[in-house]
Amino acid sequence: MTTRSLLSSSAPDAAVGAARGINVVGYLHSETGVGEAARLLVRALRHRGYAVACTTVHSPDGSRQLDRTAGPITGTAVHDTTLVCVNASEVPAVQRELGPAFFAGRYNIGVWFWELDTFPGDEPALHAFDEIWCGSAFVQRAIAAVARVPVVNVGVPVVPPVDSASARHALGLPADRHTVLFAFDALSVIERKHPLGVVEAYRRAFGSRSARTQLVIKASRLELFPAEHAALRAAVAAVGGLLLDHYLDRTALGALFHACDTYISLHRSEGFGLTMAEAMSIGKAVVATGWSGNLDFMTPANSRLVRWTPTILDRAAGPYPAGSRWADADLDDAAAHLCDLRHRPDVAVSLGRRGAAELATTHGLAAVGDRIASRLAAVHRHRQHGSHRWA
Amino acid sequence: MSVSAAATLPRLRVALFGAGARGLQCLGALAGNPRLEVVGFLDNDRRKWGTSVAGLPVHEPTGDRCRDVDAILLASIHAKEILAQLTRLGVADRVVLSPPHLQRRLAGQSPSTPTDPAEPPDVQRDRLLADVPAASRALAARLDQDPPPPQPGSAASARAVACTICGNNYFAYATVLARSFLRQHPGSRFFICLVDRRRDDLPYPDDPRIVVIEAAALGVPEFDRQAFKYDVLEFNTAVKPWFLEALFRAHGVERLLYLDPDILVLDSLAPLYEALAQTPLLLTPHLLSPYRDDHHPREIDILRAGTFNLGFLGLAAHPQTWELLSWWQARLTDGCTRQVEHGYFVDQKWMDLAPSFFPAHTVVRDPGCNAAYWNLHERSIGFADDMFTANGRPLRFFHFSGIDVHDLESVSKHQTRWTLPADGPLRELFELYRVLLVTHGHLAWRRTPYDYGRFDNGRSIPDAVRVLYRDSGLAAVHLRPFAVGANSLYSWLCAPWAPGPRITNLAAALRARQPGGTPRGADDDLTLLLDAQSLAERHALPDEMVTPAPVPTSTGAARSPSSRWTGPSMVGPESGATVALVAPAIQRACAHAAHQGVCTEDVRATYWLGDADGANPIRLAGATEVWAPSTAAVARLVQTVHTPVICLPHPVGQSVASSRSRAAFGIGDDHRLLVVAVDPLTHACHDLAATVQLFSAARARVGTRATLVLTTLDDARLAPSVHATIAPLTTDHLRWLPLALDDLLQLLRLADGYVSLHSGVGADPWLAEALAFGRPAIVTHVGGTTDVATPNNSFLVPTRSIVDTRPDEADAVVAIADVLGDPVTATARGARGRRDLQASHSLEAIAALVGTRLAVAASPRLPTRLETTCP
Repeated sequence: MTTRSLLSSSAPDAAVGAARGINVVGYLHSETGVGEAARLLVRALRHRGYAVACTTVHSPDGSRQLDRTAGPITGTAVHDTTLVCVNASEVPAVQRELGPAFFAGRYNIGVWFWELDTFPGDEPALHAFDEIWCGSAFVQRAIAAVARVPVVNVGVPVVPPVDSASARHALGLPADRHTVLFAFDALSVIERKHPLGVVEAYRRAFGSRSARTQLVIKASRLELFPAEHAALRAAVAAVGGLLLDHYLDRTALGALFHACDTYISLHRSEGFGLTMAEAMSIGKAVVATGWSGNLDFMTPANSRLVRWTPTILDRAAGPYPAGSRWADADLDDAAAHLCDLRHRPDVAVSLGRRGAAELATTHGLAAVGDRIASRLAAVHRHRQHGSHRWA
Repeated sequence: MSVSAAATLPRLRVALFGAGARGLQCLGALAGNPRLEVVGFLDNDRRKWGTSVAGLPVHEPTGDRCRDVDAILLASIHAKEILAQLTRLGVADRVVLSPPHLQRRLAGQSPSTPTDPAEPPDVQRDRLLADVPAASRALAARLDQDPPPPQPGSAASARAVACTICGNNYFAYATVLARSFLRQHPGSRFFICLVDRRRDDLPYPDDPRIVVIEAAALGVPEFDRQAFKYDVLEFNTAVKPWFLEALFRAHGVERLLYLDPDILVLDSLAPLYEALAQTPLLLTPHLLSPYRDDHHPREIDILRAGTFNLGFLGLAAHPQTWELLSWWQARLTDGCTRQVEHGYFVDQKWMDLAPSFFPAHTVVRDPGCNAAYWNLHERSIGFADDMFTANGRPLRFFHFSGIDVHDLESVSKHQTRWTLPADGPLRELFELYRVLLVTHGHLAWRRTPYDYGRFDNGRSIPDAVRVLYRDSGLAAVHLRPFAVGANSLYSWLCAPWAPGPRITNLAAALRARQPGGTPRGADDDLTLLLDAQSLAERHALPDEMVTPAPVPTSTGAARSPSSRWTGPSMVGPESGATVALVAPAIQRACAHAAHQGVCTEDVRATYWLGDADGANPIRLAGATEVWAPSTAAVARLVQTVHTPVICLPHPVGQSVASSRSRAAFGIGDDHRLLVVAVDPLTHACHDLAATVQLFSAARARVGTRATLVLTTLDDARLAPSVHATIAPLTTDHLRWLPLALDDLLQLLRLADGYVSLHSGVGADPWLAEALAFGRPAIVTHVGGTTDVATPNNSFLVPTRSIVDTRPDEADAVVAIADVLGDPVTATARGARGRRDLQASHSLEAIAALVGTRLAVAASPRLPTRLETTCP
């Protein structure tokens, strides 16, 4: 405590946060986006000087549980504020697993991801927390519209992936080709991620037999969806592309991102868009649908935003009900951006540089840590001067 | 109402405020009303106190004096000030605005009265029958003999039936029709769908072949809502496909003729049943030949109402018929209105599509079928061998649409072409029908009130309420619209509308539906009241639905919850767009949400308009939540505010009263016109000099004629700094043009593009309006404009860096040049902007957000807090 106070004495604002600790509950061992987001929050909190008491809960999706980067697991709530980093639908399971006493008397904050511009108002977990955090203004707006409690966009911390020459070599990518990459997890709803749109945009940009360009699509858990798997495999093959549908560890993934020249995502909707952010963070030019959570860090100045038209889901897709609003990227516009970046490498480089710099400014560990500290300080002031329940 | 009835009611004591010419005029207008007692005048002119005018005393308007009367009629040109004065005295509830308003208030205290003249039905009947020529009476007596009993072995004819639909007030028509049908087809049955409740005290026919089925028993989905949203004609036609289906399904019918109740069957309909054996659908066109004059109806009127007259319809049990009935049911669920201007005319207009949709059909061209006022130009009615004829062929059935038994000469209230001839077969036909109707009790039946025309407390339902219910979303909330009492539609309609003075939710809702009727901040109480009174007159609304009963100050329990919700309080700058444009628009969305019936008093919202000072916690104190115009504004607030912060932009697309042309703004039609709206809210984030220079550079690059107009609502505050900025730059293609709100919106509508090269405004309400008008925008991609200006609909200009958020100059010149030099792309983006804003910023969309917030506040809390025991 003394050390921290001394360390932070030059930054009065930091002292508020450094003097305090926080409990974090999440799928801290899980190799999924939600697990990774929780670990990134832990890193941002520690970066900002918080004592973090970690508790991991059982991940419901059967994913690999080998990630230990969150550090030691405390397993109990020792601080007066708790972040629960699981999505709304999983809250009852966490409540059952940890029991009410874990949360009693504490200020409980839900950290949620969501991917649509409307959030179901009848979600019981809306009543479970004192406050909800999310990763983008897009999600803030959706959840805040139906919540009784404050909904705060703290952002998602982005840590640049690390390159590895040996891992890159193992991937076997041709070094002399302009490489276009898209990575997604099939469990995150294939229709939303829209990989076939990427293949088609690539085809329109470079044709089916380009010897100077290379499409690479990295997909996780695609084997769970055999029909889509076959369709994507055929489509990728038809443009001479490479479908990486096997498991890659973090190092290999980092190398893959470093190996590409352009990253593309023609998603129909994103809560945040971590892969785009990661590509930007290492200076890659990114082409992406100009809609939803990725607009928190992507602008016309630092990336290529693809025009789109709104579409309404005519049937449910995964957890998203029919009638939800999505964006359909204009594939010709996407293809034009891919072409332009291929033929004007200087433009791609300057776009990437600006993207990396801006992303670090808005979504680096320090930036998100600052936002969290500022919000927690406000919460702390409020709890000292008034009830923390908002009637 | 008779004088004796009036005498039993208490007299209303009235004072006239204003002892001048207008007071005397009002006194004259009230003279002779036995229910009023004018006790004297009130006047603010002390010289008149103690004098008398027209024999009545003039007093000082003290509180006691005012409380001593039941009503104070404003009879002065200073009505607004007097209203304020009487409000201060606490007697505003006694104010009436005009003699008609007073009359309505009197009517509101009366028991409901029949609209008929005082003459009793039997006296009327005798008088009407006395005028009938003897020949017609003899003919009627012969035709009106009871139908003969069915012949043995007529099971087949019992499955070929006829039917009609009516309410109790039309039941004499249905009886006459049924008997005329059974006389021709004694072995058949006649079904009457009663769109009303069956009453024990009414003389329904006792012939077992006449079967009366209540509409409520037909299984029409959401019957109450349907009965409420449609007026009597609409609803009587809307149930038709359900009724016909029920006859096929539940009564073993194989061939069916539907006939309107005001039809008289005069000869056998056997040819029609035979035709039904060939094709399962028979239709009669209104016209078989063109009109040759310009009387009403004209051919265009027939086109509007529908080619076929649905007073007749023939159907046979057949798969095509199930398909037709199912399609018709679906269409009539919402589309059975009389909004001719929108292409609707009850059930009838839809049937124009039937010949295309349902190939097995016959268009009946027999002139003896469905003869009526609309086709008399081509059908000569004759009488030979004791039979009526049409063009020499048997007149099988005549349709007396629009007949008035008291005025046969007019033939029908829907036409101007004919006057009934003094004698001849047509005259005899009409006289005959009148005798039949009157003999079967029409004059008594017609007084029976329509059960679905009244709320459960007996108050009649004005048509405007039905339309409001149908079109405003109230139907989604009030499933039992006829109910009265707490939380009912009726109580909501009559409850005081907030934040206005004493007008009801209904009056406010109707007012909001008028062009330019949006409540504005500038509306004073008197304007609201006067508007409400003129609405009352236009829609024939009773007073209690316009001016709510005064609320006892001791308790608020009598008020409906909605009446207390006043929308958000506004926090922000004192002038500019935020006050003139945004605040009323937000209130409009709130009123719209409240009109939908989603209401609660639990929301104490504060709308944060400002850019700089809004987060001051003192100014937000007491709010249960804060609303802000953009995600950027939300992001700024949400870090520190301890209530929910909701992004709630203002609804765009309000009607624009100005119709000024470009020339009237001094701008040539051959110039590309770009507009910058300057506002105190955003002024600090706008480098106007840079904008002008960038525009000049782009203009030079493209070489087109172009004008940049800088405009504002707030000349007084902005002119000095703007002038200082742009004076050195003024050229012939730059204008500074302060405008009023409507003109400013009109200028945006006329522009070729909107320019907002800001460096991080929290919101730009003008940008949203320009996009909604379909104007492409040139916008720095930063701050609060990123919500609406996207690559799809705008020309986005990147910032110089993430720290220096001024627009990149080179990109800005390119963007402006694109709009000036590439009208095709600019127009396409503009069109997309209009669509985008219509989807996201319409009144309905924003009101839905407000409604969601109200619903969240009103919803119960779930016991799902993490520290509660697990379920």
